[in-house]
Amino acid sequence: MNTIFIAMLIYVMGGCFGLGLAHNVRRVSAVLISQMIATPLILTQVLPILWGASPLESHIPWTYPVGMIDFHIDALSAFFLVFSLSLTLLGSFYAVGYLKNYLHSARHMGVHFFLLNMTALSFVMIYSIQNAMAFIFAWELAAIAAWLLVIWDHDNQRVRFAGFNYLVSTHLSLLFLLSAFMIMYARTDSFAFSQFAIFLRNNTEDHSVIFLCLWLAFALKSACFPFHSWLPRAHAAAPAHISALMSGVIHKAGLYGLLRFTILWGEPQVWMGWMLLAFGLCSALVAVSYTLTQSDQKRLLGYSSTEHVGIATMGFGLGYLGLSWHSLELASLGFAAGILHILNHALFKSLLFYGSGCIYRMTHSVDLERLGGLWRKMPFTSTLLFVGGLAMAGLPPLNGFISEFILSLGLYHGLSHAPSDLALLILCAGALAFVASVSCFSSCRMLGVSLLGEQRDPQLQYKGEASAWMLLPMLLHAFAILLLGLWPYAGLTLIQAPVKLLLGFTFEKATPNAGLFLSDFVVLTPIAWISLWLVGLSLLLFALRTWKLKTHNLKPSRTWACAYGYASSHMQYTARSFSDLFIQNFRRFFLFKQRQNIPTAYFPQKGTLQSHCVDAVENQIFKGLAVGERLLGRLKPYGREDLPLAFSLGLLLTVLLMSVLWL
Amino acid sequence: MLYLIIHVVSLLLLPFVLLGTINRSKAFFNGRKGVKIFQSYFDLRKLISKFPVINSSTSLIFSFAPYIVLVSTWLAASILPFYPGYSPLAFSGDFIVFAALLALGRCALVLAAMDTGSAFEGMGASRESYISTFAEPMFFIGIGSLLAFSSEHSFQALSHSLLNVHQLTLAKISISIFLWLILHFECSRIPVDDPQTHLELTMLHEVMILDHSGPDLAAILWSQAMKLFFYIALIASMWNPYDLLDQTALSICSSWLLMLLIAVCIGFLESLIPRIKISSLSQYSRLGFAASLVTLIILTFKG
Repeated sequence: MNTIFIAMLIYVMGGCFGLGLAHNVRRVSAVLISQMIATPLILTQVLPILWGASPLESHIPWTYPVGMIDFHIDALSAFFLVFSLSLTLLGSFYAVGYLKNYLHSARHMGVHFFLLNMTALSFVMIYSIQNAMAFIFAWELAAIAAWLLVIWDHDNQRVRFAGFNYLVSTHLSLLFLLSAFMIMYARTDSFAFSQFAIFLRNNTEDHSVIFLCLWLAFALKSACFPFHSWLPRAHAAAPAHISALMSGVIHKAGLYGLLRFTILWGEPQVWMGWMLLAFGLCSALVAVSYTLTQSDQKRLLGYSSTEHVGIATMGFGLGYLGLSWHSLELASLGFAAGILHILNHALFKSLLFYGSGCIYRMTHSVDLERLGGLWRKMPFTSTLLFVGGLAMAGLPPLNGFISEFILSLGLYHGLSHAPSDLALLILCAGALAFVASVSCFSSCRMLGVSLLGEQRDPQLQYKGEASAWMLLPMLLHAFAILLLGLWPYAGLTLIQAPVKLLLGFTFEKATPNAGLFLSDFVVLTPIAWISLWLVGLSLLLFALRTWKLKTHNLKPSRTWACAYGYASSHMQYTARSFSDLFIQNFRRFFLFKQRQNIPTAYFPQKGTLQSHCVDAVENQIFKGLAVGERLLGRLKPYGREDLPLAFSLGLLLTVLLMSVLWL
Repeated sequence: MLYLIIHVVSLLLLPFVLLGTINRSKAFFNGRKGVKIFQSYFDLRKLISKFPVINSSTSLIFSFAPYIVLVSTWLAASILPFYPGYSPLAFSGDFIVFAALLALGRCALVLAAMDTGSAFEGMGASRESYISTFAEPMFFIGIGSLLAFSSEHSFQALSHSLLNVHQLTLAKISISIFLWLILHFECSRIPVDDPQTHLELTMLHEVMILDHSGPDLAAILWSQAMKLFFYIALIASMWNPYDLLDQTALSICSSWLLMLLIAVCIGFLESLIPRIKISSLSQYSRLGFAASLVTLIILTFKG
């Protein structure tokens, strides 16, 4: 554990050097070198835990009221640390390429990289600390560092607003987390998670309130329905590597919190599992439908992040149900699906964001309606984006399919449950199938419109391929995606220790200590063989065909345009038209805002029409809040003018009275 | 080993036989004799011997996609039992992999269509993706409920366990309904899509593959024929009362008869009704969705 503390110190020192040194190049190198030293240091300590080594522990005594700060890195923390830190390191390398223009400018880049180190530091703290107060400190550190990273382009008012939206949401989550911690502190008189665990496992009367507060906190942080609207906005505003890190790593901290408290609960109640399943499903359904309406590629990817977090939450809901129903298979499959999906999503979503960052750097646009035919100028980026996009769609032979397969298998696993429960799970599986097919639709749309075909806006300049700083992290991500897809046991070995931990309380006697126990419930060898045959045989056939046709000169011709001689790139399907049938079918769920300047006179005039899809859920939430505001406004005539604070004081007294009476 | 040979021979023969039967039954309604039963096979052979025309807007994806479709359809064929009780590859959850492989094929074709940079193929890609969002939930709810309630997790075990259960007749009828609908959605038959229309604006699936030619087009057409065979075989194996492993000859004969009957029905339906409007497709799919929900309810109350 001391090595971990030294690594944390290296992060801080590297960040300070980044702030203090003279030239941008030296600042950035200092931070990168500190990450390159500290991250492997931590990973070498932490990786063996995933394969059964004993957890790392340490204690730091602190003054009142914090008490003793316990550090405990078990399999769950190790899993999250492994992918968070490595992805942050790759993201920092990508950032060098993405922000290359600023390297020799007057802007102080050290702040940005200092904040990257601070996020890495906050991950180490969040994933190891077992003391509520220190956990809150680390949570806040991550939130504020992420906010400052998001508003890199702070001259732009939209970016500032997006950052502020994110800040407010994350502090709302902090509010609920604090209330949950306060209730548990009031009951146990200590801030240690171990004391919380003892209390939660033995007393069940406060479970509902605590679970609701915790769930609200983690749903706000991880952008679950209905609190997801900040995510697409923040992702569209942030620089590409920050969007990648946020969606891949930072807001997985919310899911980590959910899992950590799952371990502390012991046996959850049945309604908690259903609630997680329901909200996860709603997240997935709403978000995937919204991905089809966006033409800003990064906003699209933000909605897709919400969808995949929803799928992971469905896995956790299934796991909770398995724990409540005492079904080892259900719980293992559910938690395995959720945790594996977190890893898979981190990999392919970061890859996709890095790709859109490359596109933005080289074309200055991420608007799908203006792009097209990027594969000619940017072949490497396009290939890597294809890998990421097909993984996002959940298609074999890539890794997205594996976790969705395990989740579907778990949902169909109906042996010893009541028929009505089983019917509900099957309906969820059907809805998951819908999500998967719409996700394929969305992925094909995004890839097809931006990378294939012809350029839609002739005024856009395609400057060329992205730099190696940006391509190499993407290549590593794509390699990991292919590895996890073609060899699914790699993924299963990584997640089996965290899953065992989650099952540990309810199934103490049932979990064996050695061997890949998950293979009792899900056999992935046939899928691995199918994936290998798929890749191998199709390459073989294509090679045969190309060899056979090489003997003649194949003259290329123009695209079939039904004998129309002047086909142009304007005639291609745009992003909006591609999904138009779907949007028309489900138009009651979408909200389109139009800005128009339609010509009204008799003679030709210039006119404009802009239409974009805004988040209907957020719209409804704000309408609800507006109703509340109107109600409060109606109370105003009853307040006395000479006591301006009377209302707030009255409210405060009411709340204090209620809490004294309740507690 | 014998069963594997039967499986492979059926996969090579039956898609063409069934396509030919459908065309012949349509010709019967037109008062014609119709093309030969194996005409689609001769068309494929002709296409393989030709050289494709590649257009200048396309990348490698356009040329590669047909082979992804072909290989994924072959792999899906190894999972599906054509006759009740046997498939070469059977494992827990294989129906999910079956659907995913067919989805991969469809996505490959959609990407190849977007690759051409043409308005026609884009339209086809858009329409094909749209109708695919209907078929998958039906399939998963219906087949999945059957699987979960019979505590089996693979197609092979499922078809085996359905053999001797007579109480499930009502469930089998509703399953046949939504499988029939999925057949029409996925394999582009009337009333969803007219496979013989010459007007691009009325095409759903064919317009997506307009620019493909030569061996690439042969690969795509063969995959389509195989997909048609899959769904017809699924419906037939629902009603076939003989297990392949126990009464091989009887099983094969009754499956063939059922499949030919279904093909003739498809042909008759195609000749009698027109294609429905694209905007009415979602309403049409609700029939299949309702059938799959009915299956779920029947099995919930019986099981």
